[in-house]
Amino acid sequence: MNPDKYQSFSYSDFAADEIFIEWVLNPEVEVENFWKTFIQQHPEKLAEIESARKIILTSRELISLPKFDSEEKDKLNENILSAIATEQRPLREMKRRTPAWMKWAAVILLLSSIGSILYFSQNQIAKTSYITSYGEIKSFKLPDGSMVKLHANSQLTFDKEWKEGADREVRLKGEAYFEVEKKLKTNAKFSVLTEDLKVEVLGTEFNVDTREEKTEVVLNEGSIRLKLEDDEKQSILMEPGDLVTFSQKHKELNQRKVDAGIRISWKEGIQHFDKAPLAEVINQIEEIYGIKIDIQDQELLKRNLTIGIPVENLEIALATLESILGKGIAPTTENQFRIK
Amino acid sequence: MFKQESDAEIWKEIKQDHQGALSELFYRYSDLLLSYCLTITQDRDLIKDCIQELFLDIWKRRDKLAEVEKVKYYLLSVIRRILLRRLKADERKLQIELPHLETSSRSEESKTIEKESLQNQQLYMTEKINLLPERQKEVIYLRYYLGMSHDEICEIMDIRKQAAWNLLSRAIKKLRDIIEDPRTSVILLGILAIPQS
Repeated sequence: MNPDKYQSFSYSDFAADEIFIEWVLNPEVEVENFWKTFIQQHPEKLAEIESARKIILTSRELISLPKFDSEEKDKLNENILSAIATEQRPLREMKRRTPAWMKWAAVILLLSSIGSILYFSQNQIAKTSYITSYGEIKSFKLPDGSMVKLHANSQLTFDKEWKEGADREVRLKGEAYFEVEKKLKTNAKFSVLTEDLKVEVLGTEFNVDTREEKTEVVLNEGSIRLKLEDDEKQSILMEPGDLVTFSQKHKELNQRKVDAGIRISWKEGIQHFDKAPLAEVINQIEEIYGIKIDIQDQELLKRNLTIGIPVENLEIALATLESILGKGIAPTTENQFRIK
Repeated sequence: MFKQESDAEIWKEIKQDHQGALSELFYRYSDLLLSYCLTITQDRDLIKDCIQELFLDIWKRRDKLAEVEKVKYYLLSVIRRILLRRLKADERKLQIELPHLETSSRSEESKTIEKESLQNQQLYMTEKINLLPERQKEVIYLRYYLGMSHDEICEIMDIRKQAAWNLLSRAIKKLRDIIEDPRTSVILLGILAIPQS
């Protein structure tokens, strides 16, 4: 470093000088001494040097202000991941450890890897996937005009292009509500595939839920036929208000009548429960928001609640539960809560 | 553990098909990419699109990507290319006028408020800095915020040395006018009080 060079410098020369900038941004002993000595020998330069330092530090401080808020960032990351999920080639299994903040992302990745492998080993048709994260509902239109509402933490995959008159097929993980467009001319079928069964419909409104190692179908309008995955011949015809659950893993089939309106109320943003045990309510909240809720008083789990839980706002969901139970719910660790 | 991996290691993992590594890279650099892009355009939605395109592109071409030593510079130069291409394609104007319109009324207001809080002063100066022509803002960002060398700046902005010098010295003169404004003295004291070890 040559001090002579700096004798004729003005503030603007200093502010553009590599060594000067380096000193201002990352002062180290050696450079620090150089400049101290320089200022002692050339006190007339002090004002120019101070001015240059001000310029560098102030603009550095102010130009770095804009940042994403964390919600915006998560959303953007999710968009990138969903776009990747529609890519055509199979993805290899995720091997890496994931930090806690990526928990939901990991679930999506895992689901999409399974989905992709299932599909792309069979054919090379381009697929589209819609994915929701915890505490989020998405509505969209399928290529045939049918409407789907995808519940939180769910994925729906289907062919990118649908041929006119051909049967329509979508694959679901998680939970979704369908309003299927009836194809009067062609009578083209619409099917929802899950791990457990196939829902075959002509034109109707129904809810499919694949959480908890089973598939639950609730019919709201029209009629549908269920085909169990292990037995193509065994099929069940459903009427409005019917609820059918089938677990491939446990080979369990149940059929009962429910209030379809209450069961599918989540699609309007609030999941209603009518005299449902607390255990079921907690279960749902855990699934929707990807959290864990502990309870000290186990007896309480049997208590029946009539309650509406918002599905896109965890804070209000917990506050609602708190007020109905008359008990406090406090966070313990990350994504963990305790009812006291 | 995870957080301490170097950029180059993360890059290698992306090339080995780890999607998690891609997200890690995204979370590491999204704020930096945003603040950099804002020196070029004020269109936040466009910036988000471009960031998405950047990461998608990295993922799609992960087989063909070279080992990159300076991942940060790679990201900055690619996002810049994407952003300029999109700006051109959309025939959107590089948004110089827009902040003008917004700020002129606001700074009128701020003139009437003599005793401004620290935050107001910061806003006032940020507005002023936003009024710099976008390429001057960019050069200031790369130079003072990222601490890049002159050569690196020329490479990223794809300009000759002399052009980069001109941009920088023009920006410095304008910054001085903003900073010598008497109403900004308090915030300056705040910044300069940072101890220099």
